[in-house]
Amino acid sequence: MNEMHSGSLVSIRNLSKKYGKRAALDDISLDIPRGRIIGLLGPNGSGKTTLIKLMNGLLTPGRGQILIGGNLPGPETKACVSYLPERSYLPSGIRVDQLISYFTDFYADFDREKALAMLDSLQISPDRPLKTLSKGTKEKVQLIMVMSRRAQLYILDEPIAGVDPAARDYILKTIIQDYNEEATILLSTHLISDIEPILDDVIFLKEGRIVLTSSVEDIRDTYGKSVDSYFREVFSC
Amino acid sequence: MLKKLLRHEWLESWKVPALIGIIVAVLSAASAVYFRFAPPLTSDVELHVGNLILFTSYTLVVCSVGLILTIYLGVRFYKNLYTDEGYLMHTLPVKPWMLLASKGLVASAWLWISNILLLVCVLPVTCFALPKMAYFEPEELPQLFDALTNTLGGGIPETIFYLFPYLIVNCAFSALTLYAAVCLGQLFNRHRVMAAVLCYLGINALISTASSFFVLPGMTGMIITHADDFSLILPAFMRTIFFISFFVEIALSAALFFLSDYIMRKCLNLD
Repeated sequence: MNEMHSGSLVSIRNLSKKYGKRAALDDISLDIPRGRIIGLLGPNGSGKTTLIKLMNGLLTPGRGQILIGGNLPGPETKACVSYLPERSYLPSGIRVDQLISYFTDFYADFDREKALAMLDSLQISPDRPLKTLSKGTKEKVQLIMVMSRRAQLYILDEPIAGVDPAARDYILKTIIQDYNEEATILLSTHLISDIEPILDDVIFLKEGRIVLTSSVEDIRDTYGKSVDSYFREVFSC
Repeated sequence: MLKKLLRHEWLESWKVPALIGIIVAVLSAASAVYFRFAPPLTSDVELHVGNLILFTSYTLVVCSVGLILTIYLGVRFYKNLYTDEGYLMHTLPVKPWMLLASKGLVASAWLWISNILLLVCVLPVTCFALPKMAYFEPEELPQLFDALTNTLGGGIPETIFYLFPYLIVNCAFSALTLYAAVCLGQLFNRHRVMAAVLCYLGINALISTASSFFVLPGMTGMIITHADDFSLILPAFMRTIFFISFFVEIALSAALFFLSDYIMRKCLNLD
């Protein structure tokens, strides 16, 4: 991925972030191309969420720069990046249809009909208040909102953590079906075997540094292993 | 985008202030009816303790509304921008100053409405309650009312002329002080809520000290030099203080707005 500097969707240069004295990210440089599904993989505390939050402008970098579509994180990048955090971020005091209006108002690329169709397929009524939904259903609603945008970059932080296998299948199906082929999906997870079939590329993060960027095919060809097996080898304790 | 933010902020925040307003209105109406029809005091009863306690309780409850509303607005700002909901708000394609402006305008509007409501509710209740708490000669009450409205010179129209624009500025200033304190609290690595509360108290203490530093010498000097005709020059002095406060609060509001905007732009670190 680093070879594809020209025309890359995301360009990260010498990015560092510290929490107190501990470096969460240490001098990372990376280019992310368009039209790929990329797994951001690493053990707990490796810096995945920090990198994702920096890309979304939710953290201020200590050093270095991130450019998305040639812009620093800000209103321009937020208009073309669809982000699913690892936590529930929806205001509990509103109904699902109000949430749809919210997304319609603020994101020009939000496809209202697609969101309604997806809600219908899951039999989630739009007039239900969010606070009456179970945790799993809320996560599905959140994913539906994020994937109903025609974004250039989808950043999904642990989208399948903490959900049952059936919901996991639904989430993966939602991610890969009907998304813009020009768009890139960057998703972080520990559950590599579940997402491996949909990945094009992987980025391995360890202790705030990138230890590998490769296509899934290259890993299989070079090491004769699945990404999951190779990950276990690289990160074995 | 600012218009949309304003609309959503208003829709999401109106319920609690409206409920508080309804409670104040109902409580005031009940108090007004009670005091209106309570038996008048005669010249041999100087003070009705029961009515006095009732009126004091009413005033305390009604005045605490401002505090409750301020706490609600501060908590809402914090929750909406610096907890999980912040992940949505800070990934909207808008500039931080728009988030701040939308919340600041809506909060100012609610504070202004609550202040006006307090004035509208408390004044009639006070008018009905005063003669039922203590015995007044027939001509004393109008004199007391005139003295109050003459504090700034002139009558009711002049008081409204000074009071309403000042209230608008003061409400915006209160909201922005609250928001700046919450933003400053986010600069700390730990105990951010406590840091925000301390920042709020610190900002207010600083402003109170500074204003006392400027007002007290003038006031003391005036009392000494105009001991005989103090009541005559008080309106002019109060008007001057009013004008100075008006412009100082505008300047401080702008400073607090830019400070909060800077923190949100350059130092955002969501947990």
